[in-house]
Amino acid sequence: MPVAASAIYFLNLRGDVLINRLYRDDVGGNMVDAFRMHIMQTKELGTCPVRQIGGCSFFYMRISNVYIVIVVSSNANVACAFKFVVEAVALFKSYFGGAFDEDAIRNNFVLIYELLDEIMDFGYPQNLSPEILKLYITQEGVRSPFSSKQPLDKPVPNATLQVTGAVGWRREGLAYKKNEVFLDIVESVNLLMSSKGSVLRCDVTGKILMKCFLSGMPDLKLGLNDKIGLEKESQLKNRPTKSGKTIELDDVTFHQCVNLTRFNSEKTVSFVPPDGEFELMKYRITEGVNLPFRVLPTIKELGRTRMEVNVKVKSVFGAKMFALGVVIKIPVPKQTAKTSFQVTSGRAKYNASIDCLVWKIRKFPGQTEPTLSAEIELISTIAEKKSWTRPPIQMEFQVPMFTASGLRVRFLKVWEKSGYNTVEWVRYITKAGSYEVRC
Amino acid sequence: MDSAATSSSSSSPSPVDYIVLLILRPIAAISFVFVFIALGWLLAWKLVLVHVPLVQEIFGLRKKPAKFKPQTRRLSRYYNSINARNSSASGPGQAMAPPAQSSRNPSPSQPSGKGEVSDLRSQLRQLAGSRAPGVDDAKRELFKKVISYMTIGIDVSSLFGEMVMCSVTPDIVLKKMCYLYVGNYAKVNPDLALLTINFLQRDCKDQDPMIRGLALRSLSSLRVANLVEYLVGPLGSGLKDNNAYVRTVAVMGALKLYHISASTCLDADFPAVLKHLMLNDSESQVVANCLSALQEIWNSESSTSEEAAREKEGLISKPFIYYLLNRLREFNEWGQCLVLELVAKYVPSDTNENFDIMNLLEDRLQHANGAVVLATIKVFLQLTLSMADVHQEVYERIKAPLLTLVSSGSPEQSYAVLSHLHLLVMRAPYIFASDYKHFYCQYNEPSYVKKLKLEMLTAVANENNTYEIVTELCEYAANVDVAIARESIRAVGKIALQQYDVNAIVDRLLQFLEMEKDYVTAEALVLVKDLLRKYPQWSHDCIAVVGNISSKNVQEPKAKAALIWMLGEYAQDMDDAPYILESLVENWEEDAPEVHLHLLTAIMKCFFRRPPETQKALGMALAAGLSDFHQDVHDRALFYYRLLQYDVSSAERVVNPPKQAVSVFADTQSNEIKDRIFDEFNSLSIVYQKPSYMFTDKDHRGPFEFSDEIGNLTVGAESEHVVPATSVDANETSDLLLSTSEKEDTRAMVANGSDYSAPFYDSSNPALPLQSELAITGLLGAADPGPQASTAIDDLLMGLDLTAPPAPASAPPPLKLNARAALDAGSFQKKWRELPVAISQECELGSQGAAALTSPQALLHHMQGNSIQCIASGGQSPNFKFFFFAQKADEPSVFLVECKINTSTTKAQLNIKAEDQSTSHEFLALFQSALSRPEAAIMALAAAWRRVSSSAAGVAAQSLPDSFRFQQRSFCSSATAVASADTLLAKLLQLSTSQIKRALDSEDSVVAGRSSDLAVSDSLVARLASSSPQKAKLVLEWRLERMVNDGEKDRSLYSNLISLCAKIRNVPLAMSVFTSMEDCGIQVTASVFNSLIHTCLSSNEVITALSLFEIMDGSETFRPDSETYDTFISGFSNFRDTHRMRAWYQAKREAGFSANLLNYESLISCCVKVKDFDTADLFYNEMMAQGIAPSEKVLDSVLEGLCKRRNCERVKEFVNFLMECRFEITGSLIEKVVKLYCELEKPDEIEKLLDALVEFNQVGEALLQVHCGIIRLYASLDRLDDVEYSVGRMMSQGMSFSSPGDVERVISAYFRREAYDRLDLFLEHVTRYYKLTRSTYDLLVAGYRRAGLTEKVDSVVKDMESSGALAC
Repeated sequence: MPVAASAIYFLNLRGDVLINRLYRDDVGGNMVDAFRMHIMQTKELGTCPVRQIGGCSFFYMRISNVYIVIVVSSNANVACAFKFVVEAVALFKSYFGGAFDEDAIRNNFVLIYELLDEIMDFGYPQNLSPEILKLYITQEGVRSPFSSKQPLDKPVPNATLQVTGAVGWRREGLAYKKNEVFLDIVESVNLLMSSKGSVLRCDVTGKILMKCFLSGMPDLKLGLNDKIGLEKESQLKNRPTKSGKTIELDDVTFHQCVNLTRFNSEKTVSFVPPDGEFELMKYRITEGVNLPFRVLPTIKELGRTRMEVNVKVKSVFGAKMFALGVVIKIPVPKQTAKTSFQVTSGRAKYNASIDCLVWKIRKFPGQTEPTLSAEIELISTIAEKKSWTRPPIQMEFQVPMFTASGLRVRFLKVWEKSGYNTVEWVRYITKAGSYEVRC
Repeated sequence: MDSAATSSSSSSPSPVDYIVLLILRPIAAISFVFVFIALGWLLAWKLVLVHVPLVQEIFGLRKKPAKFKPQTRRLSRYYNSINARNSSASGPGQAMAPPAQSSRNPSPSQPSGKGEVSDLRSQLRQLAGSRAPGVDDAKRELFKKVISYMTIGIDVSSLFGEMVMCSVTPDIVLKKMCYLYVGNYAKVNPDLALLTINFLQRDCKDQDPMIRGLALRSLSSLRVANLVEYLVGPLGSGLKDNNAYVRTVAVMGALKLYHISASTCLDADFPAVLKHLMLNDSESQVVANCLSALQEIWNSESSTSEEAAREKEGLISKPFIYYLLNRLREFNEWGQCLVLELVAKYVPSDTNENFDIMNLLEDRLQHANGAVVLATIKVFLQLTLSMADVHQEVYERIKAPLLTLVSSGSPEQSYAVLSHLHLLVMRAPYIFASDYKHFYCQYNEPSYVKKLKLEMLTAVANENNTYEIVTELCEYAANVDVAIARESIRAVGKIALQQYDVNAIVDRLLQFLEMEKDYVTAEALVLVKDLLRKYPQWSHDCIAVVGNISSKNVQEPKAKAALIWMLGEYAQDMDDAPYILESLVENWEEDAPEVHLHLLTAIMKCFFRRPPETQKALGMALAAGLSDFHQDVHDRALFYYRLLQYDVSSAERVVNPPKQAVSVFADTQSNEIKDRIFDEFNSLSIVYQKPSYMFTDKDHRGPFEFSDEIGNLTVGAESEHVVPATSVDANETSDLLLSTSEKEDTRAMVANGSDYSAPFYDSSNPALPLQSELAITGLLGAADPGPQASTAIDDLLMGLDLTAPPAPASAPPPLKLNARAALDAGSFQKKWRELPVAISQECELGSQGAAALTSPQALLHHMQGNSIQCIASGGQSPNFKFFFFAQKADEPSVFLVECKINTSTTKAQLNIKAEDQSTSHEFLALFQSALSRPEAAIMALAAAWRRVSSSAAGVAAQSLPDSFRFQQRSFCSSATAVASADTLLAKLLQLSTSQIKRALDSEDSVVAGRSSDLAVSDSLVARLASSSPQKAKLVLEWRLERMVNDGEKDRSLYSNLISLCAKIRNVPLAMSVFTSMEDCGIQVTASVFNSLIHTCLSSNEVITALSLFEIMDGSETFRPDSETYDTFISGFSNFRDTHRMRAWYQAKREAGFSANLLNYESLISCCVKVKDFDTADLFYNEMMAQGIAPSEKVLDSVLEGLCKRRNCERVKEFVNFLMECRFEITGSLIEKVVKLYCELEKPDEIEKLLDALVEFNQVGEALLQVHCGIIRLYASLDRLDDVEYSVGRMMSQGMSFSSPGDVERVISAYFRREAYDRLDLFLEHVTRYYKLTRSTYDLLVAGYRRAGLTEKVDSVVKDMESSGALAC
């Protein structure tokens, strides 16, 4: 029975311990010194997140300016440990209001100690769901349900029952004046394109984020235009499938609130949502991806000291849509001395720290093709004879109301005993994952 | 009025006025002055005096420097920062009343941590009893501080009591902090922990379940063994608590109790309670915790208790598993992981059950938590292990979820998942073959992810996707991350080794070699090596590219070793393999032992194929290897040395047997281990790629880490093949056996006389060990090429060639020859010089035989068959030259034959010398018959030889002229010596030692001891000393006798005689000269002593020399003079004993003599020789400071020192200095500089040097040297244009090449570039001023022949004949 952690340390970048918690006695207290000695102060840092030193294994992750280190001495479950850390950090963030860094830890260390005690016991993860934990671990102990301000002799309400309850992710007795559901479909496109313009690799990872402000215990059902779901529906209702694009999802994972059995049998996504914000599902698509941008670079090295860069970026989404925050990073050699640009839209500058020309276009309408042409002068170095290895052009963007996969929400139904009306908001956005074009 | 008043007051001063006047005023004045002074002092004190040390001392003001503990300072800093933040932060948690002011600003007098802690203590005490409102907030702030100290490692355990006192509070946050504190320090403070028990136990009965749970958790976290009795009660009630939270905590508490004291836990029968809870509790978290607790307890108990073992089995029984599976959805994600982990251990009874479970769990693959997905995958994999087809389907099913997991989450998470995916890909690559694009690396991914992806790309490559994958991998080869670039090149290589269609991949690999990046070249070389081992058929293409790589660009040991291996293995295909190897040996120290091992083997291999070219390198390598520090290198060198000593052909069979291509490179991990890893799916084992026992057990860890290192050193099974000498694997053993059996066959054939196919493979000739021994003794001394080395080469050649069994002479002539005659080259030369020519005759060869005689080897074997041995042979068709010898069967008398054969005229010119002149005619007859009679045999032999030589790719054929050349040269040199020396010397040389004196007597007139003839006799002795010290000694003795007899009184003659003794290093003789001098009554002087000391030092008798010095020191008449010291200094300089040399130099200066040029010469040259450059510089500077003009030798030494340091700048400076000071720049001086620049490959520098030389009008040898140097360097860099330009320049200045070596280098460069037309032009140009030597012609012939230009070969041969290079 692999445990997830024997001890957990929070270190700052210098290696000072911010917080430590020893869960089991099988690792020594000086383990963090070993980590500091053998990983933090060597080149090993960052070469592998799992390392063995002495009899102990160290899993470490860097999150902003904090290293979270898990130490185990047994054959632990790595995936579980990393997932635990990620979840724990999410939990802390939800407590601290979004930030998780050294200062946040220093300011909240008592709270973190409390949480660490609750989320893991003797090396076994217990309950990391923020919704539940926030019930009885609060930043202000004074206002906790069991605080001294409540009459001591009164039996405590069934909060603890909820702590371990069957619907672990939702409290009972929620009430909102306005019942609203926000649904965000966020897709990130990963692309690797060869210099000749052929797509080497392309996939979309998408997630559906929900924000629920619903009273009571609502039951929700979500319909998408995915192939299997539609087919199943048509089978069940004996209706011919509507024409229109259907999407084939390669793989889907759901939040624990989704009734997986029902999904498997009926291919419908039905669930009782947690209160507030959560990630309903994640999916992956490799076939039939609509790329929002095409990049056509031509980079000519004219002799040893001059280069000519021409990049044309073409937006292939609808003309009424537009992309925001488009950043195109065009790599140039280290020994770049001088650059001069001409852009048809947006702004470009040379960023020496990342050896890139950074071309920013704040608003990028669909069906346009702005170009950048730059002349680059290089410092001629005889010593560095090595030819320049061209890193790929990288791109960042956000395209609202566009999905690279073509996924659409067909319906979102809400049932509740009291039968209130709900307002549903659906947004789509496509972001760049690692959008790389070789040149 | 006014005036009246004043007048009245002045007229009648009141007593008060008097008082004021007389007392107050003075007092005021005095006090004012005092105040003023006091103020001045105070100012002085404050500003100046307090800082005066003396004053401080007197007033005791000097403070002891306060010793701050480092942690304390950290504490205050941390503390302050927290305060600062707390005051600035506006979060609700901080909106509390600040604690007492005093703690915020610790007084400067108490800055220590102790002070802060005690501060805290006092505050805690104040708060402990108080019930004032807001006291909780103050307490909270204090507790926070305590805990923050605890976190940063300050020992606040001394506050234990106060903390416990304060913890009596209803505030849950305070309680939690207190519990945390107690849990941390209870273990180190067991006694104090007892204090807490009371309030914890009370809290365990609190009405608030939250507090009950927390108290119980703290109680069980105390980890104090003697407190466990207090734990049992609360735990028992906790497990029965009606609140689930308390129960979950209590379950874990029971497990903690078990770890503190197993017996207490078992005695209280907690396992049974837990089991009951697990099966019946409604709360999933309680069940999950019970499950983990019971698993741990029963696991560790099962080894001792049968019941526990049974219970453990019960956990994976069908009913229980089903119970869990049915409740699975109630569990949270972590609980599900736990359950799934258990389910994976369950073995269903039939396949239906299997499918039921899988159907039930399939939806878990959609879970958002990657850990759950992986756990589910493990269940699936384990369940279907026995069902192969379903197992495959499972792979298909889990592919998508795994790929999703990989592409989502943080890099660390995807690394964990990728490790698992990696395992699966390795197990079933074909299933993932179509998904290869998922394993493409993204630019920003961390390297550990990329590395795994590369491995997977390698694994999934098959016929359909190889092209895309390899293309993609080649993209990564240009990656910025060098490690990844290397990995990707390796990956390409691995794919090449897996695939059938390697054609394109080989091209790609060869392109890597041309990328000219060090690491790319290095990796590619290693790969090409492996590739060649698997696909030898690619050798041609690969070698062509590999040959262009300069070994200087390869630095990594592994790559260097690979390059060396290829050089050794394909020595025959790479022109300059022996020379590259030789240059590698020269830089022996720079390389790693790994490289040394390969170098030794490669040189051995190369030696077997191209003996004469490699011989020098082999000698150097063996010598370097024998003195190597690394034991393996030393042992191998010794092994090879002995092997060669024993028998050269066996050595070849051992070191360089025919190899079979490696079909499969061994896998590093056994299947058993792989299966074990697979069983531990979803754990660390997968990431580490080794089973858990290897990294969790203490016993295993050590050796495994070690073996891991070993594994890194010799990845795969490479070493076995590359290093056959150390580990002869089965393959090679069989090869060895094979060749022995072949040998048997061959011998049978020889006996039949029908065929003669493998004359090389026999070692039954007893003469051979002797010869090879000689060869080896020569080898080690071969670093300085001289006559000895050249004879060694010949011997070595014979060692290789003379291995055919000498058959008994076929025709029975009256003269019987010894079939196993042995004669070393040295004695052959001696005899050849001594003996007169008995017969000189020309005879006819049979035309057929002559036609068949395409190489000397053919004849050799034939003659051996007739008991006539060859000692040297050479020549190219149609002219051959042989030196034969034979020995009579019954007596040691030998015959020596020089035989020149011209196959085109079918004539042979014989010169026979014989010790026994009477039988020379009989021998001639025998020789002629042997030569002419069995033409068929010669033809057969020739054919056989062609076969052998073609199999050795003509290497031997090419090598032979070299050996001939050497032979020639040594003969020539001795001949010139004989010719040019005066007749006496020749006579003396020829006479036996016993006859010398008599001869000298008769030649009295020439060698008279008179001073006029001294020069003659000196040169005579000097010459004799080098060839025969024995004779020189006799001459000297004879002279001494003469002088004594004549009653010679001239002191200088004796002194001269003694210094002659120094030449032959004969101290006793010198001593006898000295005594006879005394006997004659000649006054000894310091100079005589000096000569004696010189003799002693030159014959290494330091002690005698020192005692002589003592005698001198003690005497009156012959006190040591400057020359005495000089003698010692130069003597020790010759010994390279810097220490004593410097001591003598010091002594000389102390004795009042000033150092002279000679001293500096010795000092500097010695220091440079022992590489003590700094001292050399010191002496040089000293000498210059004294105004002594440096001699050529000094300059030489200094320059040598600079060159050895490879200090280009200083060399340049020095040379410029020399030229500016108008020193004569000699050839040897400039040669060093040129050599240095050539080594450093700095053509620009040499060009500058040339300009400078021209500018300073330096002419002659130096200029020539520089010219040649430039040409040499360009030639070695293959810069033909520059070569031609510089040749032209040199010619235009009226100079021509000085040594054939340079010409050959240029020619080789042309050959390398295959620029034959330009070569012609060059030759035409050069031959006008420069006569090509034989070796150059040989090179041309060899080069053209290799290029297949037969017409050229013919024309060169014709040129050679016409130029007469053959004759010399």
